[in-house]
Amino acid sequence: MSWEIAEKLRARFPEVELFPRPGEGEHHEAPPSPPTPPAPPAPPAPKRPAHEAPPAFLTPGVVVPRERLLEICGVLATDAEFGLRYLSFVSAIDRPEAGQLEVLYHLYSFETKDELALKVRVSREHPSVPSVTSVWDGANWHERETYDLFGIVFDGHPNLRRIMMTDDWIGHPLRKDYVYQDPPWLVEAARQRQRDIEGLGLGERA
Amino acid sequence: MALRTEELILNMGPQHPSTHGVLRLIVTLDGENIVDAQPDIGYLHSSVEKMMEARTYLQNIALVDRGMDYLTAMSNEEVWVLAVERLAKIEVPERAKSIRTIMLELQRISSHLIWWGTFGIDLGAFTAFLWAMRERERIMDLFEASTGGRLHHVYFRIGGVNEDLPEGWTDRVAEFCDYFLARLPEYDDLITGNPIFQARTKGVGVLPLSTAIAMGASGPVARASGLSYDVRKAHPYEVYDRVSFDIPVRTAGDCFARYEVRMEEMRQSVRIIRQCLEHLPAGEIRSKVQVALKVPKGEVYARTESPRGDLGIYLVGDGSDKPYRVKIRAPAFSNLYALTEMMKGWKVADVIAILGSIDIVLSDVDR
Repeated sequence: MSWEIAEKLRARFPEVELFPRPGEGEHHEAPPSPPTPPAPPAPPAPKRPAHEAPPAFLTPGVVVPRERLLEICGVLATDAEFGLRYLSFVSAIDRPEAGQLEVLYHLYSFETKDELALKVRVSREHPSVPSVTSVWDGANWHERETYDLFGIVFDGHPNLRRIMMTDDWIGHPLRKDYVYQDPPWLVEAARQRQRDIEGLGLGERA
Repeated sequence: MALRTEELILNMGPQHPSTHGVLRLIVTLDGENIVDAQPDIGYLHSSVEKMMEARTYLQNIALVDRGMDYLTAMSNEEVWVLAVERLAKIEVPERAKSIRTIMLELQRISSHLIWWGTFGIDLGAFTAFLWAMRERERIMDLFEASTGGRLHHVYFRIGGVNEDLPEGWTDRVAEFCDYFLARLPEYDDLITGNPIFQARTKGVGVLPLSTAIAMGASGPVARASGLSYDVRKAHPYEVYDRVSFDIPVRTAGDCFARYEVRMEEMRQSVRIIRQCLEHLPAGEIRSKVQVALKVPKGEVYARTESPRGDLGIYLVGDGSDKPYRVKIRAPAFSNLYALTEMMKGWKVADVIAILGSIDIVLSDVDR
């Protein structure tokens, strides 16, 4: 879990932005203090809730501008200095409050055992990033899955079709605002069944 | 005079006895030769990643157990608890680590046995399946005795395991190790040395090393192509850094090499189990962790070596008691992608041999 590789990348491409490092510019949560003697007058020291602490990124990673993605990936995969020849996966994280989707790549080097996460921030409205299939062939299905479940368009992908859901599916299930709706034929079938058993004392809710 | 032929498209599956689940293969044939083979997946997609966002960290153990690869429930639980423990900085007692390692290796043997049996059936050797099931049954019994479940255990907990081992269980495992090692030469007699089997697997479905890496193949599939990489060695978890075992690697990259790698892995698993049994520490089996555990904000990628390869989870926590996002990196997904490359140029009769040799489980592919 070395951040060196992320720093090397920043030295080469100053526009990449490192994930916030553990312990960097963050106030360490005070260790659970020994139970203080109950001092009624003082308001109880507010224990900092977990969701207020700054996020900890335990996997080294960088945020890459969309325009430079292909170029940077090419260097990461082929340059001996990095040698990240193995793409573990491509996926995304939906951040509706920021109006963004984070496209996520995880890379690995067998020689140095280094790993690196890459993120590209794109808008939720018309998300698109260049496809990295030309760099790592294995990205093909992973990008299809990300397209299917998040609706991110990978420009230059050889075969960008849905892979998990059926071709006529509407919506992208892994988005936070996705609501599953039964297809009309299923709703109708359920209603018909209710009509069929009406009056038989079955399936009626008190 | 050349015979004029037309390409024929053959649909295999999604219901086909030898596709190992609901996989559809669209095979383009020129006579008997495979021009192209495109897997069509998604029939078993259940959106585990989405469901996980609505469940607490503890509840998710039961979900990954059955929502992912149903033949390797322990490995799924392992990668999940590992990711959570890393992000929440939870220590695991030594005894729990050893118990987990024993369970994971028993799981590896049981999963490889299923593969060995079904691979035999694929190639027309029915006995192999019966033998494999006979041995696997003993592992199921061991699992049942210690976890209560045969296929789905929900045994690992964040910070340890659910229950301590029952009385006499370790002796039964040691007994199984002896029994199982004695069976392996019989397997070799039945299948490995069989000339028909060798003719159907040697040199068939070759995956070159560079292609394997570019396509993201991992596990026995990549190791059979010459990639000396195993997460247990490269990034040890549990007690893998304290036990000695070898990583079998072959360079041929064909079906037989993949077969050899898995056969040797079963032997190595027995080796690991024996060492764990010998040095099984006493003590706690679980550290104190809240039931409604709140995991701090942050992101981590945890990876393990499942029987099928590099199984990882990218976990995004948001400080609540439920994960914000979970990405499951399924080994069979990437291994199946490499299938097209392995198939091209071989005969239609080899389809089943090649498919059987990569050992996919569709619930791992589709999740």
